[in-house]
Amino acid sequence: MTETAFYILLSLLEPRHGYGIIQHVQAITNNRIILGAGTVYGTLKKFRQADLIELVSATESKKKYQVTAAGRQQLQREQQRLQELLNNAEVLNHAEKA
Amino acid sequence: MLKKHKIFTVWQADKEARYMTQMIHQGNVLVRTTGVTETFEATAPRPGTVQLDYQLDADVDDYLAITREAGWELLTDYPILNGKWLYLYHPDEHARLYSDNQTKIELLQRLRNRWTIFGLFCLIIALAILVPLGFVAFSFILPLVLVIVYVINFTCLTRQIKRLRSPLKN
Repeated sequence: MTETAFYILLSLLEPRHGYGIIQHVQAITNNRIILGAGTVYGTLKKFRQADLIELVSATESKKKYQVTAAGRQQLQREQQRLQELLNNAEVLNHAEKA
Repeated sequence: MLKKHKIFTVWQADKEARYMTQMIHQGNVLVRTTGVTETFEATAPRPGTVQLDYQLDADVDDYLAITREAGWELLTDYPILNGKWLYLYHPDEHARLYSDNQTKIELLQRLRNRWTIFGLFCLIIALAILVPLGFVAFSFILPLVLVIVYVINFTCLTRQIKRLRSPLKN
């Protein structure tokens, strides 16, 4: 999973609409990641097709999505992978001390 | 009103966006396009960026709702193949519709597949009409042109996808 896809899925632990996702990711990454509207829309469409997210409310101009159980599992698998990455990177600290 | 005539090709969408950005910087804002004729309206020079996107008809309204909130203004659209080319303007020159390589690659793959299938369809129709006529003199030119155009389109889009997939770009 790319960093962008991970952050979009993570944002949807709470119901959010497209622009809400852009704002949330910008805030939690301290302005490092400013998602493009095309990137968000394309990823949401892909996640919906894979049943990782579902529509929870819709007005005329805004649709809110949230992760499904499958989406949450996918996030947990990704968290484990990232944790393993971080654990293995610890070798760098040991190498510096030696 | 300023009118410019040129052929817009799918594989040159980024070049077209750069051209539209230059035009708006000079005070010419695109108000209509037919694919061969672009109509501009004179305005005060505006900073920022113009970018192109292609979305299916079923997705256009939802997509434009997100772009509007993110500060994009739809200049015009150009309907083709059950979708629309969208010409979007943002006052921040650093704004991007596609902020990562993966989703940009997916857009290019969608464009490549859609236009290649359309090209094959046109070729089949052209052959279905011409073969019963016995390929009268010069009638092979239309299928030949179709093959050349769509092979160029496929090749150029594939090259752009490969460039984005290059490890140095990620």
